[in-house]
Amino acid sequence: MEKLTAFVVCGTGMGSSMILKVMTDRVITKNDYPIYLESGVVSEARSSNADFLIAGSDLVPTLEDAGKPIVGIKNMVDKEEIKEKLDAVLADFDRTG
Amino acid sequence: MGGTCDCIGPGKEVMIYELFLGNPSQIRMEGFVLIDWTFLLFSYVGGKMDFLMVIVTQILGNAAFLVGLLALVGLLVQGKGFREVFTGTVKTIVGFLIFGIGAGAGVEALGNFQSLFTTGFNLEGVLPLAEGITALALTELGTVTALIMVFGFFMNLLFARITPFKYIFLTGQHNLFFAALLAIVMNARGLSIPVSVVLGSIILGFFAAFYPWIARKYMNKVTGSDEIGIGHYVTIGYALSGWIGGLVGDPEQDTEDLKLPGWLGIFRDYVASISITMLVVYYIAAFAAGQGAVSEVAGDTNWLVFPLIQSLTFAGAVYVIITGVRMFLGEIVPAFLGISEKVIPDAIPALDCPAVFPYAPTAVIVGFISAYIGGLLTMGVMLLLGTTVIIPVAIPYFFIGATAGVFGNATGGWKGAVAGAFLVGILIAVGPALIYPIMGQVGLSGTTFPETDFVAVGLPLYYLLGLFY
Repeated sequence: MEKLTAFVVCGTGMGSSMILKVMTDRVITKNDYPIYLESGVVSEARSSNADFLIAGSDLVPTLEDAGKPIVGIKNMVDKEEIKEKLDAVLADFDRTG
Repeated sequence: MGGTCDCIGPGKEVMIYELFLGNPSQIRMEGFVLIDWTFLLFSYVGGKMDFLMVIVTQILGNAAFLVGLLALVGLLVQGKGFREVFTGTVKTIVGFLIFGIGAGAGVEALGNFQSLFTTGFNLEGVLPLAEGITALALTELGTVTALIMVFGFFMNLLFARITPFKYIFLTGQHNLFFAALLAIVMNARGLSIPVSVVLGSIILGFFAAFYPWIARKYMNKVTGSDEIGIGHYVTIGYALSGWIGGLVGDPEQDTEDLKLPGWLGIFRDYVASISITMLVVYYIAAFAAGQGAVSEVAGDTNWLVFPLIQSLTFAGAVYVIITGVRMFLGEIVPAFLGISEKVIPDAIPALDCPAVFPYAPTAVIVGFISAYIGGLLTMGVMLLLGTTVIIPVAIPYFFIGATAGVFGNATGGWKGAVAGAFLVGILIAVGPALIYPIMGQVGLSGTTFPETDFVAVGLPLYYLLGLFY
């Protein structure tokens, strides 16, 4: 199954979302999701070829003009929330099961 | 094959060559020649440069290689493959070096601003920015800083294990800044490197576990749980903001019910933020200093164009700095996380301030504005009093003011956000003024640390050490 690419967006540019990336990576590994993770800042997210973006939910308005689906996470260490939202995105891309 | 001598010498070399080349007598000749030249080379190098000392002082004594070593160990411990270990280690070292490049690029623009400001206002103008002062400090105190940061992490684990303060501080750059502050204070008192590293790492490790603990009650009000701590060294400010919010406001009147223009979010972007601040302050300084003074510094550049170029150059330098920081933290922080989870499974991660922004995005904007007004008013007072002038820089004011706003909002709605952030805005203007003279002792000027937690440790430490040194 072809993997989707997700881009984890950092708000400061110095890795404040690194924890989000690590947690998301764990959820992906544990559930064996077909997702490949990249990360970077807002401007890089806009110009990337990723299929969808992952960011803290407060960044969502800034990213809306990127033209890609955005997964907004409120609590970056809450794996349940991450899994739930990834499930929803995977369903949208028709990659479940 | 020949004898079984294990020593390095002509006999052994010939045996190895035999495996690959064949003719023993010819090889013996070539072997001898090779050995002779190798020994000659080493004695030349050794005699000229004391080879071992070079390794110790210039490789291990270089901060970039030290953090690279930490990343290497962390990656190996995590069981990563050769390719990941290699790229990870190289990225860490290069990231640190990029950080240094940014520092060099920013120094001149900052210095020119300072001289124009002094000419114009007859006062010293300071732009507190932790990234800036740390980058400057690293040129002289790089090794001590890196060692304090590295050992400080292990001290954090120790204190989290043996005290009730179960927090692991995962905001890498703030630990780097704290390490730099400690290195600066101890260097100002003339402590030796080994003593600085030992004392510095103990202090860093302790406060890394302790500071998040003091804000835990309010952090719980913000996030609704005890799962994460705030890992941002303005905890004193945030706890105060939470406390004030409870006094003046009503949590039901949430900031999230307010509608605010979204364009203020532009200040979240480092480059945009610093560009705007620097453009404004540079032009103010230029006009205050007058055309003559500016032209002197500007050389062939037109005096009105000079501030434009200099301020944007500084913004570029800050971008290089944060890119370097991001690169080397990218390997180190996951390593910290991995190690800490193995050693202290019930540890609570203390995270960078954007972790709380999703809980109250409007409070972020309210807090920034309120804090910045506090900073501007304080600057006005300083101008009137004729003291060193602390100029509020948009970057720390955004992130710190925003977080203070979120904390104030959690206990006191929008009134709490406004009041709490305003107070913090004043604290992060007064605090750096108090520690600025210490920076001067070590030859650093133009910038300093705004964060309350650094001032609260650095200032008493400086005076305490003054009793002994």
